[in-house]
Order: sequence, then C-alpha cells, then structure tokens
Amino acid sequence: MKMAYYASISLSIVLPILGVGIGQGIINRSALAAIARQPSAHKVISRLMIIALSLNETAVLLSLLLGILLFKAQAAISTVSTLAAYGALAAIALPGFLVGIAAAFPTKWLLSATARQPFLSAQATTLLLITQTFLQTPLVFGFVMGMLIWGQLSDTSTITEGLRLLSAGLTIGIGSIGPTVGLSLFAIQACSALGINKTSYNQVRVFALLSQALIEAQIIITLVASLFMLTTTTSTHGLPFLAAAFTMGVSTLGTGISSGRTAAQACEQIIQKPEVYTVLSRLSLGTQTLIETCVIYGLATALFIVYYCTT
Amino acid sequence: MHSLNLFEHNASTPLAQFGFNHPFFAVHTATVVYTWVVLLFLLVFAVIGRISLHYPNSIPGFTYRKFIRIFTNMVHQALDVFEYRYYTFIATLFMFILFCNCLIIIPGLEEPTKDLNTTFALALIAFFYAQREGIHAHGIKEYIKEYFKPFFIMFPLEILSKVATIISLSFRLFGNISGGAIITTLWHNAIKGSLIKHLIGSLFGINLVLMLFFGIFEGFIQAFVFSVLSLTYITMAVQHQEGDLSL
Repeated sequence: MKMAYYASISLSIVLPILGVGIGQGIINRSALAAIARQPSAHKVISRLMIIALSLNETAVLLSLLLGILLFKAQAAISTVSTLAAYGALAAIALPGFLVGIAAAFPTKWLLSATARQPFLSAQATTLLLITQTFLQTPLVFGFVMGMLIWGQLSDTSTITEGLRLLSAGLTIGIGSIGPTVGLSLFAIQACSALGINKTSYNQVRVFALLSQALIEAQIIITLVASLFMLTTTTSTHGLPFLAAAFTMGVSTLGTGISSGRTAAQACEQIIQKPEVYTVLSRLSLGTQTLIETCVIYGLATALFIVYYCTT
Repeated sequence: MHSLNLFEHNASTPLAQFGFNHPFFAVHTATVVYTWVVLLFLLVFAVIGRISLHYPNSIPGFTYRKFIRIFTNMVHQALDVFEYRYYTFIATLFMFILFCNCLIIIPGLEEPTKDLNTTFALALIAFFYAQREGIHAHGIKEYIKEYFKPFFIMFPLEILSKVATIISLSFRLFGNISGGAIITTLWHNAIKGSLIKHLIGSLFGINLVLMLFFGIFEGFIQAFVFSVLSLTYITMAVQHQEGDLSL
C-alpha cells in the first residue's frame, strides 16, 4: 500500500513534467524557426519565447507543490488515503499533462506571426498573455481541487469516503480534457491573427476573451460537480460517486472540443473580415451557449446520481 | 489549514434572537467588512475622478476620460447604439469587481470575491438585469413566448440554459480568485515560522509575483470578462427576437 501511495506522488509530478517537456520543446523549436525566418527580430521573438516558457512551467510548479504536500501527509497511509491521493493525482496530473502540450501550439503560431510582423510585438504579447492565462485555468482549478482533497485526506476513514475523494478528483481531471483541447484549438486561430490580418487585432482581442470565457465555463461546471461531491457527507455507497464522475467528465469531452472549433471558425472569419465582427461574434456566442446546455444535462445527471444514491 | 476550507467563514447570526437560526441568515463578517473597504476606495476614486474632470488638460483628467471612453466604445460596439444605462451598469460592475480583486495588494486585507456569496450575488444582479431589459424591450408576452420557441418542448431546455449563465458567471469569478488566494496562502504558510525563513522567503520576491499575477492581472482579466459577458447577455436579451443577422 505504501508503494501505491508513493506511486501516486511520483505520477502526479511526472505526468505534468512529461507534458511540459513536450510543450517546451515545441515552443523552442518554433522560436528557432521564427528567428531563422526573420533574424533581425530575434530580440522580440526570444522575449516572447521566454514569457511562453515561464507560463508553461506553471503546471510543473503546481504539481510539485501538491506532491510535496502529499509526501508530508505520509503518516496516514492506508487504502483509503491512497484512493484519495489518486484523486488528487487525477485532479492535477491529467490537466497538467494536457495543458503542457496544448499551451505550446498557440505559441508556435504566435511566434511565426511575430516573424511576419516584428513591429507588432506589444500586440503579440497581449494576445499571448490572454490566451495563455485562459489555458492555465484548468490547471488552477485542478490544483484547487487537489488541495481540497488533500485537506480531507487525514479525515477519511471508510472506503466510501476514499471513493468519494477519488471521484471528485476524476471529475475535474477527465472533465478538463475536452475544454483544454477546445481552448487550444481556439487559441491557435486567435494567435495567427497578427500574421494574417493585422487590422483585425482589436476585434480578435475582445473575441478571444469572450470565447475563451465561454469554453472555460464547461470546466467551471465540472468544478461545481466536483465541489458538490466533496461537500456531500451522508453517504452509504461509494460506487455512485465514480459513476457521477464519469458522467460529468465524459459529458464535457465532446462539447469542449466542438465549442472550441466553433469559436475558432468564427475567429478565422473575423480575421478575414473584421468589419462583420458584431454579427459573427453574436452568432458564435449564441451557438456556444447552446452547446453548453449539453454540459448542464451532464451536471444535472451527475448531481442526481450523487443525491439520489447517497441519501 | 483552516484557510483552505472554501466554504467555512467567520459567520455571525444577528437575527438569532428572533428565531432565525438557519445558515441562510448567517452573515460572513470578513466579507462584509472587506466589501465596505472596497466601497470606501470606490468613493475616493469617484470623488477624485469628478474633481479631475474640471481640469481637462491635466493627467488625471485625461486618464479618467480615456477610461470612460473604453466602456462607451464597448457598449457602442456591442449594441450598435449607445445606451447610457448599460454603460453605467457595465462600468459599475467592472469597477466593483476590479477593486474587490485588487484588494489583496494591501497587506492584511482579503478579496470579498473569494466568497461565493459575493460572486453569486453579482451574477444574480447581472442575470436579472438582462431579463428585465429583455422584458422592457419586447413586453412580457413576447418575453414568455421566447421560452417556447420553436416548440413548447424547449421550455426546460431554455430554463436550464438560463440557469447555466448564472452558474458559469459566478463560479468563474469565484474559482479563479479563490485559486489565486489558495496559492498565495500556501506560500505564506510555507515561509512562516522562524524570522530567517520569513526573511529569505520574502526576499525571493515570489510574494510580489503572486500578488501581481493573481491580484492585478488575473483580477483585471476576470473583472473585464464578467462585465463583457454581462453586456453580451443584455445584448442577447434585447436583440434576440429581431432575428436579423444582417448588417
């Protein structure tokens, strides 16, 4: 049992490191390619590259923090606390692995756009910060859940409570996969705006904030389900929690990607024709709100399972 | 690790002597006090702004007018016409949330938006204002008819999507701000203890980085997103039924 517990600690650090390693490789390669294309812009490009690398490293830092805390709590190793530790692992490591890779692709497109428009480096920095901040949010939410699970680690005594904590972590872990991919798909399109049509920058900036907030709303809904599981106290069975976790997690898988693709298509059209921004953004936001309704069904089902099967 | 529990606050029940003991009537003391601090800052900001408008060529006067123009442009871009009441609503929301989020840069104070009650109240205000404007623009009959379009089976679906807007608005602000607060608290707990530990930890400057990122940058982004999304909901409520997507 000790081995399983330590495996959870090491996995929770190793998986984000794997993702961030791949992601930083992509960023470095694209920065070098951009400098090779426009050697006189090497200062601007390397500055952007360093910002992107340091933002990308958030995943490793947060998972390292959680790993240290889990390691410090080793006095209470048992089957139950191991289950809870795997919950914390799922909450931080799955988003960490994915965000590390997904956050790198928008930077790649941004750097090649900067190579074409070296004089718009201030705008490029703003776009980078906007997209990267939103791409890191699954990680922050996962970290919050991991911390809350860690806070309840020493109080757990029954298998039911262990399963409850495990499924609370799984909910946010699986649930953040789809929206993260969607956010990445959208950010790729938004970051290439400067290279295609630099006059569309003002529209793309506002549209990026709005669309990413709407894609991110799905992660927030999984966070609500996860928090609900964490605060449920009266329970007789543990397995319904797992069922609810998979219900909630898988229901954002397709919708996150489709929401991201919708926004990316709208963003592509806005880049081509900034003057029709009002119509396109209204249509895109309306469609995203409709897509989000499916996630609400998943939330309702998950809450129903938790509420009905545990009281 | 008391500070990690997101749902437990220092609560007092002022109405307990009248028999209202339910948690619904509990008042989160810290949140209320910090909100008063925010209101004080807002008052100072507004008074300085009003005075500086008398001096159009001064730096504060220019800054305030530039600041106001951002919001007037935003309303104009979203609605195609400028409506003064939407501008005041959006600017108020933005200012309040921004000051709430940035309160962490003053030592000893905490953000009121860390409490779910504050963000939920703000989301309710934004939601019901949008509904009221929808009724105001189209009349109550058209507004109710909207729920049964294109056929009456859509009724629960529409209700759910309305509820989803409240949830996503409130929990987005709450999750982001409380996540930042948890990370800052962890760092403070890590460097607590001996004087030397505290000194070394403070001299690293991570305090400053955390504060700048979570307090100012993230706070600004979240305040902006909240106000722009509220404006979008108002726009959808006001203009939805016209159905013309042409320019």
